[in-house]
Amino acid sequence: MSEEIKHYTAHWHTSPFPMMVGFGTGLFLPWAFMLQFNYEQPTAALVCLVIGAALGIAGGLGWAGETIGVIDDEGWSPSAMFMFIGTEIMTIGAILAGYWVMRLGAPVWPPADTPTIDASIPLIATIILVVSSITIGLARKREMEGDSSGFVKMVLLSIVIWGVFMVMVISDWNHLASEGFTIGVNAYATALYGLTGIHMAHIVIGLLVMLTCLPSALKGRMSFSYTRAMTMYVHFVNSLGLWVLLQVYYW
Amino acid sequence: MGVIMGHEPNGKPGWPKTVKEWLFTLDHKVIGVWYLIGSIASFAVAGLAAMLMRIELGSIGPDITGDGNVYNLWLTMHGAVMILGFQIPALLGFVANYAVPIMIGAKDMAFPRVNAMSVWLLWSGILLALANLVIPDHFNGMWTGYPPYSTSDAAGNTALYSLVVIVLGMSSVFGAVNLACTVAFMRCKGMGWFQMPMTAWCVFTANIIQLIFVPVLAASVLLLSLDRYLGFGFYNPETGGDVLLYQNLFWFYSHPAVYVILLPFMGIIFEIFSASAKNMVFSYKATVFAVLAFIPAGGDVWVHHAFVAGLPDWLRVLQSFTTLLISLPFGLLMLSLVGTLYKGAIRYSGPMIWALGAWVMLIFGGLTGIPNALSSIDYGISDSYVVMSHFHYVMAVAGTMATFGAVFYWFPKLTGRICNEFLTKLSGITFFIGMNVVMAPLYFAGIEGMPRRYMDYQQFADNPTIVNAQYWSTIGAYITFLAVLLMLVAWIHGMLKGKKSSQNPWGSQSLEWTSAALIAGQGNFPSPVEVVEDWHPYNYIDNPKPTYITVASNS
Amino acid sequence: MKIKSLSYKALGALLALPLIPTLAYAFQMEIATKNNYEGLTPQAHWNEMWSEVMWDITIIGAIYFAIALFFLFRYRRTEHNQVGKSPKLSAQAIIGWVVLPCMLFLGDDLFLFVKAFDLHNQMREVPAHAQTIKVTASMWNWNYDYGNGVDTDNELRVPVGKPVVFRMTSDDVIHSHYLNGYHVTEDVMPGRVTWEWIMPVKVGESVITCREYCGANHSRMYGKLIVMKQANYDAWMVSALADAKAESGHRIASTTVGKAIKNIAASKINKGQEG
Ligand code: HEA
Ligand code: HEA
Ligand code: CUA
Ligand SMILES: [Cu+2]
Repeated sequence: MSEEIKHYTAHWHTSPFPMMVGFGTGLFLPWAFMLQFNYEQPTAALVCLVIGAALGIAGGLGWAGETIGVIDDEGWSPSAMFMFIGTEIMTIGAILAGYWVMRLGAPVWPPADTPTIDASIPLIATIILVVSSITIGLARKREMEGDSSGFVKMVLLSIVIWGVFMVMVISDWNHLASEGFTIGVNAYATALYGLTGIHMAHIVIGLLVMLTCLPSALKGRMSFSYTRAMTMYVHFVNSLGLWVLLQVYYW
Repeated sequence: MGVIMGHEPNGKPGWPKTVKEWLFTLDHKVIGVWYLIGSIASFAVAGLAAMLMRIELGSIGPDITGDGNVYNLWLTMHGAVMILGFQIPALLGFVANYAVPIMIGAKDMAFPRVNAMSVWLLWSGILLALANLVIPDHFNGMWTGYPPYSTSDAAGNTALYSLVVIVLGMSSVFGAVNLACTVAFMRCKGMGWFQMPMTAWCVFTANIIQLIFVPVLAASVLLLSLDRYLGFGFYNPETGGDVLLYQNLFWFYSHPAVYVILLPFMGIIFEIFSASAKNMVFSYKATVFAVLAFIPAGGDVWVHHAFVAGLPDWLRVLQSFTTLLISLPFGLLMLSLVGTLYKGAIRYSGPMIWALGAWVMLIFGGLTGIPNALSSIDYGISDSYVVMSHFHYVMAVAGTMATFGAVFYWFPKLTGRICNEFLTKLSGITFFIGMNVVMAPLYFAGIEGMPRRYMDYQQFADNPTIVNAQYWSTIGAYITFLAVLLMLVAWIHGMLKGKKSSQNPWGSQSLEWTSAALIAGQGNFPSPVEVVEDWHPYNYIDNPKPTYITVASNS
Repeated sequence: MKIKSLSYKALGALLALPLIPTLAYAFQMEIATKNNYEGLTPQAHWNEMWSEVMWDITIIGAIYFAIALFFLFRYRRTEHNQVGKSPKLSAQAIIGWVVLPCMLFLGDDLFLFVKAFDLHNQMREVPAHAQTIKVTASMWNWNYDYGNGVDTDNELRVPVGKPVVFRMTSDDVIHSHYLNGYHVTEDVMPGRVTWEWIMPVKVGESVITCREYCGANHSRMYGKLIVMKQANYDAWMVSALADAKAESGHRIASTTVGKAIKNIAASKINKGQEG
């Protein structure tokens, strides 16, 4: 309530956090990538990565801290998230289109030099992943009941589940790579690592989003509309995981 | 109408005074100004790159550089920065952030913090792009960045290109979500969808296009970097990839992107026309639907940029036809523009001159799109100066004149002062003449076969049309340079010494002019605005006045 | 009210008149088939079509500007407090102003499209007796392979009066083979074979240039098309064949100027593969 913009006040509201997130992710992370891959300067890249990640995370936490449960939000976040997910679907769709072009244009699939790929670990990982849809739903229920510690517990549980998923997928990647099935081997490798990798990037972003709402929740401050949007994103990432599983391993 | 807020620009605080208030701002007006500064700076840099190119091309042989890589760096910077750093931020940043919320009677954007983040993402993108001028291993793969060139070492720093596009794409997506929510939820009390100004409609539609298509662009350039640096093979034919996939994904966004640019500046032309002619926008509702029609119509024509790229013939023919169909909504908008003048009371104010120039060039540029759209004609002119001339007419002349027209039009709101009318008109006319001298000869050079992206043209040395066209075009570029300088003088003069503006200098009916000329703080209106059902931003005859809901002051 | 909307309708009906002949023409036009072009070469056909399109858009532009200029002049503001008095349109009038112009625009689109489609068919159907020349592009060179052991760099010789089809691929990045005067451009890329064809009817030289950005020397990637009398061509071919024999085994590799591209292994692309 404290910050609701009055119609016409000569006072200017400020917040450093959006700028931190903007420059952190927009300027430092790109430099980290360029220094690492284009200029092969790992130390400088690491410095940029640390600065960028620190700015981004600190900015996100600060941002959440001064908005969640502090500002009376008008409940538009879910609509915004809905649109955002729409754009995500277009991004993934474009990459899938690339996959389909490769796959349908290939004479044999999977290409000849592909080892047999064991789909059971991804399957189990994805099943575990999908459980987080339930826990995050419960988190929302707790929040609506006003139970902030229950909310925190459920969100933490979802974070742990996602963590387990990440560990399983990464170990599966390692396993595949140790069999010589690395990124550039053939079109199937491109598709497999590309799609699971992009899903993984979403997992990371989702984790950060879930983390940002914890500090305020610990102080008993929650935002119904923020949580709703967050839940939508979690459900989206989970269904994306399922979709990637079906596309890559079971088609 | 009476002065509602009593905040005439009489020395009272208009803009933030402290650095902190400027940098950490959450107010859409200040953010809009940040967008404006970023885009004008981009225009200056990219325009200076164009000057260098024009000087180089003025005659055969190396004039100021003999090194193809240097020319290609200028050209890459020119194309990418003009489109991604100047046009889109000026229209979807400045106009969308500064003007639209006030026009619909909102107190701010829906998500002020997201808005601030978007503008800093934009600045990050611009800073990254400008770094290209100074870093070793600069990217020179053009704004289109086609693989396999762009995934080879010859192209330089591919990561820079991908990341600039991705960062600017993120900025655009967040901005678009924000603006869509603002327009959907924050219109003032009583304002129905069909009572929105054309600018709001056009910006809204352009943002919907952004939401749908930007992600595809981001994905396409992301795959470039994955291919080049991490060994993926999406575009590599040797491992089962396809070089044409990129072109399809890229143009799937970048064709709609031209309507992202077109629609907002069309909205500005409507705004200025209607205010100058004090006339209703002709068949307003139908016009709105024509604007919306650009979403589907723009989405299925991308192949016209790849007519000669080896795609199947049936696809070329099909999309040649769908491309032609764009003349329907486009034609309706043009009809509505001229209809807006019908029985009007036209005053030739400064911004009106800019808008007129934009409008004339819009028709020129639009019609020169038609030969390109015919696949068989395009076989002869693809990637030639004909195409180059076409898109400069729509984008660089029409788009730029409308964008700067918008700056002149909203100048009183930005600064509380009006630019000198003579300087405004003079710079507008000079710009118009200058750009025509640049682009008209090049059209004929293109018909003679002059290809794009050439730093030299010794193979055409015995073709006087091409040689003369290049010469005159360079002269035109000097005239344009002068015009831009004049315009900057007009702005600076207006800012410091301009006549104090009244609240509604152009006599518009739109809501932004019911607020003080220079809004002196956050929130835009003294209290929430309300309009009645009969109110319309373009009704000059019997418009009911907007009212202000009085709320108990609790500040 | 009634009369007004009626008058709009009547006006609209008049506007629809030009549509009838346009559409009729568009649909009745005979779609020409492959060999039915007595003497009309693709380039002449293209020139014809080009001037038609130019006339078409010039006329549209001129009509539009005539109206616009009239309005701009006629409706100047003369008194200070004057406001515009455009009539309030009835629903029918609005529909009329949408549907009828759309019909007109559509008519013109169809007209242009059908004619351009006809040209497209001619430009995209290779005559059966065309001679095949393989083109391999590389940074920054055009290599022409005549299929009998003879190949040339940046110099293409063809006999007059015989259609030639180019089967094209690239060793490195995308290039685009443009033959000035013949109005054909087609991109050339690794991993695919693209094609275009021409009908040379005049002896002489013309420029061949690259039309897709391909790096530092993109503008220097040009060659010559030399159209020769059949006899001269035959003579040239005989001597070229002899040269080729002499250098047998030493097939002149495409000269690659400047920095080579390292992560595109040119050799792996099946150079001669057709279709
Ligand atoms: C704001 C930017 C903008 C706009 C609005 C347009 C509008 C159009 N453009 Fe353009 N275009 C570009 C920017 C733009 N373009 C750019 C940047 C490129 C090059 C990119 C690159 O390669 O770098 C390009 C390239 C380009 C090509 C690719 C050429 C090639 O590379 O070979 C084609 C081909 O079809 C094309 C067609 C069109 C058409 C049909 C329209 C139509 O929308 C125009 C429709 C308008 C009218 C027709 C006039 C008004 C209508 C009437 C008065 C009604 C009556 C008219 C008729 C019935 C004909 N454009
Ligand atoms: C909105 C987009 C936009 C705009 C406004 C312009 C504006 C101009 N463009 Fe450009 N142009 C493109 C978009 C645009 N262009 C694109 C997309 C391409 C294709 C790129 C590609 O092939 O990949 C292109 C390509 C292009 C070429 C083709 C080069 C080639 O193919 O080899 C040329 C050549 O003449 C050219 C010229 C110009 C000129 C003279 C201007 C003039 O209007 C510029 C006028 C501006 C100035 C003269 C600057 C004045 C600045 C000042 C006065 C600053 C004062 C100083 C300080 C404040 C420090 N442009
Ligand atoms: Cu080869 Cu350009
Ligand atoms: Cu296009």
